[in-house]
Amino acid sequence: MRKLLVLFAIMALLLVSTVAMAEKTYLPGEELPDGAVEVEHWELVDNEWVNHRAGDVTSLARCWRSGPASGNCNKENWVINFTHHASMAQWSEWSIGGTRWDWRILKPGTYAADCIEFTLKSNNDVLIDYDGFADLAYLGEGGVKTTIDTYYSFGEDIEGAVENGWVRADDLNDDDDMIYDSAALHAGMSTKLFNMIVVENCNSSCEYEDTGTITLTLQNVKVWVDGRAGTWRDPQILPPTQG
Amino acid sequence: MTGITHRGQTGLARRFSLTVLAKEIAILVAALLLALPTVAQDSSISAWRLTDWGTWENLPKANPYAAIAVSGSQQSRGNAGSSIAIEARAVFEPDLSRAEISAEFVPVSRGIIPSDSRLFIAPIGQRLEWKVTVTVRNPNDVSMTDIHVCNQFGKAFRVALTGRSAGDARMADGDAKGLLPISSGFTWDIGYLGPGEAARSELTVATNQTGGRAEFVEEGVYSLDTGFQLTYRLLGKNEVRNTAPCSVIARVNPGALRPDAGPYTVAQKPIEQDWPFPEKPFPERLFPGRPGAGLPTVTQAPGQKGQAVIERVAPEPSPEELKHLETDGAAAKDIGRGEFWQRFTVTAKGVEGNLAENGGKFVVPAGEYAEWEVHLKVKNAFQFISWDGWAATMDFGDELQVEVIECDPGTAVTCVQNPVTGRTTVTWYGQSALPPRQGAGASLKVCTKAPDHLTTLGDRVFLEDIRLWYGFTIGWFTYDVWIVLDPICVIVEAVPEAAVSVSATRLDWRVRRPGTYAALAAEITATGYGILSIQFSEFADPAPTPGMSGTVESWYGFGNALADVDRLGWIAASSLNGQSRSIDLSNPVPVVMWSKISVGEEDPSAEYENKGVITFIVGNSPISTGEGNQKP
Repeated sequence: MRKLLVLFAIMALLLVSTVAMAEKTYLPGEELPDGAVEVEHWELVDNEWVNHRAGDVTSLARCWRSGPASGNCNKENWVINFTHHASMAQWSEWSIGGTRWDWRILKPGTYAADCIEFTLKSNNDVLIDYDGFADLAYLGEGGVKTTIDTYYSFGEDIEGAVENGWVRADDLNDDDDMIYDSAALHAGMSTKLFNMIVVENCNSSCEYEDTGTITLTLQNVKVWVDGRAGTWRDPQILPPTQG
Repeated sequence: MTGITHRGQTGLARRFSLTVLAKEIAILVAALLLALPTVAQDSSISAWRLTDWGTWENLPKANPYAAIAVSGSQQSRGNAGSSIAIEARAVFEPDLSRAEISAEFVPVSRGIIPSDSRLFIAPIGQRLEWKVTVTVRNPNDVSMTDIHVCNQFGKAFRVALTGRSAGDARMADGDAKGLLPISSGFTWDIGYLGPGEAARSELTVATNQTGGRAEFVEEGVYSLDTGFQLTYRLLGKNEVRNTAPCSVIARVNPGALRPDAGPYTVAQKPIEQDWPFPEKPFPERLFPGRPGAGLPTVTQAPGQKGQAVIERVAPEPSPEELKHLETDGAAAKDIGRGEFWQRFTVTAKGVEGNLAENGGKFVVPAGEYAEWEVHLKVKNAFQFISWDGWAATMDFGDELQVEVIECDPGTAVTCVQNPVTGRTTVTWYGQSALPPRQGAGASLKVCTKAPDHLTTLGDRVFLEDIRLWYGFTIGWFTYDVWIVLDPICVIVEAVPEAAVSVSATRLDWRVRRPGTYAALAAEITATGYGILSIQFSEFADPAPTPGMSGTVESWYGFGNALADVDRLGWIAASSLNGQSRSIDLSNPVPVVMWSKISVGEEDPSAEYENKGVITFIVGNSPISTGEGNQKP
């Protein structure tokens, strides 16, 4: 697992290296203007308009209108400014072929595998945080060498993975890698992840394991989105703050 | 239309009176000359006057006719002859005080309340009667000749002649051609009045038969007469005097109108003074009227604002007129056909920018100040014949105010407002003959009356009864020509106004996932008058904050339902600019505006915004912005 994420981070760095990285600010979205009223809206599904009433939390989008205006006079010209605002939330789609790898080793040696395919899509920056990654550890009691050296890399084949270089599992924890907003990210980034283990003679026969954690953090969560559930904040219009 | 009449041989009578006058002057001068030698010997000198009866009347030293004095005595002795210069001088300065005409209306029936000498308040439902005494005096030192008095009485009254001291008086249909709402015409030919003489005529005026009863049957203001008009000739010059018209206000309870016993309040009291009318009255038209339609009428492009101009010009002479003139061959040869329209032109030009012209009529917004300049021009188109006299009259609408800006020397303009109708009669006349190929002009300022200005919507009178009279003499005959021009109307339009309501001026989308979404953005409703044009500008796809790329595709549509918009078609936001829609406020249909956005996976999360501008223009016609306009 840890090797997988190391490779993913490397991939991201390579793909978005040209993007300005530092000091990027994210607009959290605006609260709705006073008097905003949600209106029904329609969503186009398979070329058919599907109606969604106001307040429908299953909607993928919702619409409010505000600022009614009226006037009455003989003035020849009236100018009314009309504001059209769209707050686009950040979304993401990712997939990983598996979250658990199981090696079964008969003899000491160095082994690698393209275990899994990983994809990620989003419409803004995604922070990847690694935690708990380490060499596979000896689960039993005793033993001579109780860890198996573990590395991660990526590529279309083993040659590519070798060429891209192997990253030791422990080194991942020190990096919080950002996958920056890019056309590639919008379209979906994917790669094959490789891992490599070095089983030595001194490794006693046993069960070895490590559990790491990877956290994908969307960088532009709107105020009107429940960041934990990823759904509509309830309520959408906040009550007036008490003075 | 024009008309001409032959005044026959009235010139003979005039010449006779001139002969008599000249004879008197000659006798006085002769008497002076004959008396001079005597004066040289005797300072006491006498003067005589030949009376109308052919006898000599010795004039005392103090007399209204003539005075004589002598000076410069000389003496000489010798047998030789001598030469003595005798100088005789006569100065003729007659006292030409204005002739007088007075008309006294004395109520006979009880219940008639005089508000003043020319306005009465009378009850309905009872017979009303006045006794009218008309007096003509000659306060001058010379005789008045060709004395003629006329008047026209309203249809609501019956007039009977009860007596006269001189001349021939009669009642007749005063308006056979129906040009005026007058039924009874009074004509009194006095003929001659010597110095200091007077003539009197008496009439009885009573309410006319209406439905078998001689009484007013409903309340209202009734014009009793148009005023007595005196015409006469004095020292070879035609003169005209008028009395003010008289009116009756009929009420169920006339006394209730005057709780304080004061005069009844009307817009303006009748004018007490004599009206300085032109030399010659407007006689009846000899020929049937010819409408001025088809004449060169210069107008501005319809609907064009500012400098709206409407002009009325004199028509060409009718075949009847030409035929009549051709009986005096010299006149026909003398007519400048190509310039005949210049005989009389009236040009009204809008001064204020809120004036427009449409279909030959002025268009004025109700309740707003409007101002015109009216230019009057006359021209004697004859090559060799002078106009003996001329006068133009016209009536301006009752909601208009008229002032004289200027008039050419030798002409005069008067403006008199009718206290009953509120209309202003403008009379412009020449004070002397108009030589051939000469013209004259006058300018008037016409404006709406404050504070309400023109309030009644629809067609209103701007100027009507536009008439020109002129007279000329060929040989022994004199002719009167009069021209009537088409009226000028003003259309009073309500000022375009609108009460506009927009259900929203801001639309907020919150989008969690890429997709295509639609919602009703705003409903525009309006009431008022005119056409409300709605124009769009600065609309575009909502864009993210500066520094970020990409936009959210956006469209707008119009229709009562989403299906209608799909059918009619969505308009890309940027294509909406320059387009316009309109609401006819006489039958207002709301404009329902829809929004559609399409958010793709390529659109980053951000705040997207566009500020468009909707301009509402209220007017009398929709504003066209070119291709792509759609009507609601």
